[in-house]
Amino acid sequence: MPGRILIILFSAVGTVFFLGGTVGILRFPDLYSRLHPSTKCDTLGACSIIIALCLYSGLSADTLKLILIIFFLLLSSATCGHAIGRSAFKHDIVPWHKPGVKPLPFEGEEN
Amino acid sequence: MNWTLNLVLLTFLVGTAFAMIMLKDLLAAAVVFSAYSLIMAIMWSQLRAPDLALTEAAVGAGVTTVLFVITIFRTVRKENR
Amino acid sequence: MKKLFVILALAALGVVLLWVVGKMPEMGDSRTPDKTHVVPRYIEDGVKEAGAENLITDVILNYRGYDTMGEVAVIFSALCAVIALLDREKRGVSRSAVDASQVRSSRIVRVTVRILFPVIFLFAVYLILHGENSAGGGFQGGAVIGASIIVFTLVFTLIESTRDIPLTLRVILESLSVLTFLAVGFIGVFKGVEFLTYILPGLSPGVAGALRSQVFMMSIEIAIGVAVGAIFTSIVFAMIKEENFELEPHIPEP
Repeated sequence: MPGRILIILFSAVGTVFFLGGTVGILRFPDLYSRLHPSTKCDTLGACSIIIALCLYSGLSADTLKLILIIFFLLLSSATCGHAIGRSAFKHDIVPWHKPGVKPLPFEGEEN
Repeated sequence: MNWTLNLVLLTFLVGTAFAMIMLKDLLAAAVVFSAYSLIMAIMWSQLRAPDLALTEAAVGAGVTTVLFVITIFRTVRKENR
Repeated sequence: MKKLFVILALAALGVVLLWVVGKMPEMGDSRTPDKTHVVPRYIEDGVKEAGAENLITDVILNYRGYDTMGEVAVIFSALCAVIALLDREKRGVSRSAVDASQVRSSRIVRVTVRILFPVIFLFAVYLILHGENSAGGGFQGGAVIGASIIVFTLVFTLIESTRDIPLTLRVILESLSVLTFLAVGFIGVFKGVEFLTYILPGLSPGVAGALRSQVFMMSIEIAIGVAVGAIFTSIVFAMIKEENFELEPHIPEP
């Protein structure tokens, strides 16, 4: 059954991304690098699982709703990540750098 | 009803409730409260009360969090002891 | 010593509560009184007596109509308390911290909100208007309206929001829910039935789905939705306004 294999594949990919995202949020050193795994959770992880649900429910009204959920999820979570990162940048939170390594120049740019 | 899902949700609910009480950073407590409301909304829809789930998601996770954040923004962020 | 006493007292209370929970009938047990008396009445006569297809709406607006009226009054008095403490915003003068700071919200966020705002608002209107026949209703829709306007205000400016939703309009809309409840209630009284009866003799037949049987319920739902949305908006406006906007906004230390 190719359909079932696809469903399992997509859910597995989504779960792996969620796991990696959670480990990343716990392990990464500062806000900017933590934003990266947290948005991966929302976009790739959740969207893969919803695609698996789409395939599971077949051609029905539920599939349309799930596709709409994917659309709004992509739109809102990516914007949220951008807004958090930008606001941290505007509040002069300095990115983490490895001790002993010369940090990249950090300065607030205009808008 | 799926008892494993309920068990996981209830565990998270108790965990977030404890975290909310223990946290000294009020902004973090407000964010945790939003997570608590979200889990509560999932619980309501599990218990087949979609009306309550809608209310919890809109008021608990949305409006209340905004009001808390505005209040913290206007007063102090740390709970002093 | 005091701490130990508190922990012991809480543990004792917890044991008592758990013991009571263990004595409670299992969830969904069909022999409990509410399943043998109350639920059949709601299911069999709910549509006839109350007039809405969604039984939850029947219960909320008809069988427990006084509760809902009290809730609406509570929300209204919460708004009164906030305004008594903080005063209303002044149009054209009051600004939020976003207007006062030099940093504007990013273009990406503004475009996203411009796409999302109409969709959220449309969903809120759907919740209000379709509350009789499916999940949702006035309060939920009103909360979603309030949330959408809050998002708009946080991203765009308070000046723009207060220009689009002026104070005079909100003053009327806020008091709409309590007024409509009282009006519908007293229409029933003048027709010779109890306060808050939606199926009036000789006026609406009480058939499910027919518009005439839903007209009072619909008006109450719309009034609750509009009023709750306006009240949430007003509370947030009163809380985020700033008069002396020369000051830099207070940035919480990291």
